[in-house]
Amino acid sequence: MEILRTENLCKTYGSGETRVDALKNVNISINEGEFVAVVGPSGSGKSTLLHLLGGVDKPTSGKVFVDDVDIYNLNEKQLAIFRRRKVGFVFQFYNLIPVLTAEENILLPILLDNKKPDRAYIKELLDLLGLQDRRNHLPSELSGGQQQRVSIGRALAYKPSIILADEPTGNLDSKNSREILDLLKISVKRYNQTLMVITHDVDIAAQADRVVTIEDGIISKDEVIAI
Amino acid sequence: MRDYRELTSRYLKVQKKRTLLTIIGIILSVALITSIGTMVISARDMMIKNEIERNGDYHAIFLDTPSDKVNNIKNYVGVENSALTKTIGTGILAQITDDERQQNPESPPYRYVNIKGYDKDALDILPITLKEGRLPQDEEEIILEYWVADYLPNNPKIGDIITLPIGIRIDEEGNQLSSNSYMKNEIFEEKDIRKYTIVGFFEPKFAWVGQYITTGITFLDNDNLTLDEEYNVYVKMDSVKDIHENTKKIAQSLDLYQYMEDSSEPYYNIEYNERLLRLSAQSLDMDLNNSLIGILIFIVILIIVSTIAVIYNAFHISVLERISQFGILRCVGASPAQIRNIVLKEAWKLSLIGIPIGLFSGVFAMQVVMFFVNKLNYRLLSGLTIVVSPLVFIVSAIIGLITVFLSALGPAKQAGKIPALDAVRNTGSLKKESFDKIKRSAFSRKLLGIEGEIAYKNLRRNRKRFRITVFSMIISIVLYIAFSSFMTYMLKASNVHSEEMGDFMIWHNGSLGREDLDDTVYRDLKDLPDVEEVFYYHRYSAQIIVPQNKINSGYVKTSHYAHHYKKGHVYELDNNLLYGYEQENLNAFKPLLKKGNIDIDAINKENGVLIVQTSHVYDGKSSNGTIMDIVNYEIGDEISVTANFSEENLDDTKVKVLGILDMSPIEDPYNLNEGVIMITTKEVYDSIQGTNYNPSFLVKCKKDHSLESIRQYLKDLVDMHPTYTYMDRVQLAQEERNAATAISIFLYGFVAVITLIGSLNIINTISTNLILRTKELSMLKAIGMTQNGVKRMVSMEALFYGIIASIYGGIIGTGLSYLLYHFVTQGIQDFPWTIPWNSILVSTAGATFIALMSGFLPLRRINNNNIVDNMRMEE
Repeated sequence: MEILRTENLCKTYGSGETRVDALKNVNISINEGEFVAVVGPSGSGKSTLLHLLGGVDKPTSGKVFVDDVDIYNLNEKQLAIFRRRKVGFVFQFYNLIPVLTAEENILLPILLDNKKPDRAYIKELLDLLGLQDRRNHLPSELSGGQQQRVSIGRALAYKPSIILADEPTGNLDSKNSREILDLLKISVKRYNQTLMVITHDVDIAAQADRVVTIEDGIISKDEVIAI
Repeated sequence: MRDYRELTSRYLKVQKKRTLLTIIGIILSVALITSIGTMVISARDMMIKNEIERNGDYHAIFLDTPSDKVNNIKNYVGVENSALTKTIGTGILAQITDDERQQNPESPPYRYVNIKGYDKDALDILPITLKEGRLPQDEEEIILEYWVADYLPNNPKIGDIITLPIGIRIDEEGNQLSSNSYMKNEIFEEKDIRKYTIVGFFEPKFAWVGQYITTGITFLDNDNLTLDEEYNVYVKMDSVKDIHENTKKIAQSLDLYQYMEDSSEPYYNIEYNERLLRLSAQSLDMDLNNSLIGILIFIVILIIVSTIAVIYNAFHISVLERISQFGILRCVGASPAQIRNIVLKEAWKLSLIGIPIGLFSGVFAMQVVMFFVNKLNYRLLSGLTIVVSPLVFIVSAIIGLITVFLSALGPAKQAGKIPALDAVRNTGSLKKESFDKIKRSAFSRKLLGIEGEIAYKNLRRNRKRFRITVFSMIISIVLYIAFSSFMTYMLKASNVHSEEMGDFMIWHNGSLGREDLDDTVYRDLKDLPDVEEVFYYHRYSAQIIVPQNKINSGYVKTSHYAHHYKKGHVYELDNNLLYGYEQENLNAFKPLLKKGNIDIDAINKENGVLIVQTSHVYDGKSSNGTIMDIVNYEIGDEISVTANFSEENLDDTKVKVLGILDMSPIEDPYNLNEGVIMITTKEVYDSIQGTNYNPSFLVKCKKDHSLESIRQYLKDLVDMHPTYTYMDRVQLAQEERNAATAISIFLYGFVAVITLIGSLNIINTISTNLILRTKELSMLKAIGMTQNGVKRMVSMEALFYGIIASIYGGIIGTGLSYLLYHFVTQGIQDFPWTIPWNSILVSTAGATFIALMSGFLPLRRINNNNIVDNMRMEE
């Protein structure tokens, strides 16, 4: 069942001589529960695509449908709620709020919704992430791998239907990388989530259901990997 | 954490320094506003107290009320307090002696005492300053003005019984005379003879030999009002609101009004304590003159602007610093409104801490200032107690809140607009900047080196940050210039009238035929060792005839009275003053000369005068009127002068204008009654005035000399020749100097606080500017810039900021100081306006220095950290 679809998605930076076409008429459709790896050289437009799918950037033209809703037709507030509830972001540089503890960082999307967090679920999440004894630490007191786990926790806190990860292991050693990816995979399985990961890591790409290659702003390859 | 809004307090706690800076900014501005408000309220309170002391604690008097209506008024709804007085009659104290008649040929035949009965409430609320004894307690007791005892037979003391003929005073036609006028040929009609026991002596408002009618106060029993007699009922109402209407309503309901022949409006015999009413009225604007309100508003606006600058900068920078964090919040789904709320809630929390502290420290600061001011024993401010007014607290708190919210609103909106993408790009604010290509300047590189060039480019590369920094420095410089020059003007304005008043003033009444005695006194005074200068002069009023082309048309338009003076094609001004000085005195007036020169020979030969064309002018609208030139004579013009009341009835004399002075050096600087002041030698004065008697002397002492020789001489002089009187102004002069000190304490306090606000602002902007660029500075070091090079670059930046800010700040500050000059002087050019170079210099040097300093501190911190750590650092 399709959860995500783009229609002629274009993104252009600058104009005139300095004009860069980051994405050129990209059409892609992703099904619920799919694990998609996006690969390609630097500057090919991978991150731009991910940002546009997650509703943090604005396309120059074209549309993005999530559950058949055109997300760029939403106003600022609706878009914020969309991000809060439907999408979980995982970044290469973790991007945690430095003044909040690990647990508070994870709870943030729920708190922004003025909702009471489901304590049992959060405990389960902390256990899953192995952060139970680190929950009251500030980001500055955590290692890189731990910080990335917090950011995954934050992405999963609201049980979003889509998780978008931009080189989640780019800053980690191989042991930590493996653990992070395992976590992501366990989570999508357990909660039937869709996962899209940008990566340079061949190992990670090899574990995906589908590998999409982007070059010069267009999808040059789209392979479904048979299990 | 239960709520995302708790982020607010986390941020505040983490950014302790900025939080503190912002709170200090809030405290300072709220404290300043509170202290100004407290000062105004306290001054009003003092004025009310003084007014009550001077005029009595009542609102209105129902005059000549028949006895049967008295209690109706007293019991009327809305009347809070009341008191009764009654005129008992006029008693004769003594006959005028021949000597006295010689001094004033117009004097009445007797010295009188107007006897008034006061009930115990009246004795309570009306101002009586007892010098000795006690207040009267029954109708046989009386208190008198202390100095009149000398005129009574046997010079009675307290406890003595006096017998007074009581009656009324009428003129030749049989009309009763009012209590404050007298006539040479008036008649006393005796009605009764009464005996009174003197129980006390009180100080009258004025004690003067020429006061022929004085006051005596006896007791009035308000339980036994005499039928068919008239009483004055003093009332104090519950509220001063609509008091005129309310009192008239009382009079109406009691039939206490009548119709005059020529008017259809009823006439009410009610007198009001207008000044007290005006002071007690809710609106403050009635009793403060416009220029003071102008200054107050101006100051409060300056304070608000400067605080907004500080707080806005603090918030703006803290938002800039957190761009990526707000971006993350947006990524995880915070709406713009939620982020706006986070920033606004920060503002709210800071206000919650800062405003109460500000309110109390404002009042506290005033109390500290008053403590020192009271030590100076300055008469004008004695009796001033700090009144803590809830109104001031509320208004200051509201102004403070509005200020903080106005300052936070912009940054909050900006924070709400931060795109989520800024977070995922993970670059802090660095890439947010749009780099303008900046032309390379070979000149700057040669002159300042590569560091200087980078510094210059750094300034230019981010317009927004450049503007914020320069703006905050400009604000600081402008505030300093405006306030310090304002202070100078206030000091000058408060000093300007007291400088030339001298330490002793001596008058001689009745010098007719004894001019040689005056000359001797003059010479004696001059020869006293401690005397620096003696002015010896005669003064009389004179009429001048001014042709239409010499009268100032602006004066004619403004004055309420000018048309009275117009006679055909000329104006006959009546109230001019003519001074005749000892020749050598005139040379001392040279500094005041605006045009022409002072040439004694020419003055004597050509009937020359020096004139002051500026005068107080009454427009009939404002109570204090304005000061302006009323005529525009030029050097060489002739004026036709007639002495008023000249005994020899001399004809017009033509005098020639040989000099024009800024103001009169002695007595009032300008004519108080729409006239010209003419100053000349005694010779010329004599030829116009004819006789030459009743001179004045003004003695200026040498600084820090003993005054005893002068005091002794004057005492002996008065003992020997009682026609001389003198005033010891030394005390007064000291008080005036103290006044200047008191005012400077206030003003320096304000300047200090304003300087502090300004410095805070600069520290805040410059230091964060650098902290934001930690990464970049480390990068410069990584590629080989030395620590000194970085320092030089940063100092150069501060220097550039200082130069640019001083240009703008100097211009704007000078403009403001000019405006303030006009507020303070109200167009009276007592002293000329000059560009406040000193303040400009101090403020720009100060601002640049603070900018340099505030750059070095964060630089040291950056330097202490590892280069690579700094480069890795996020945000």
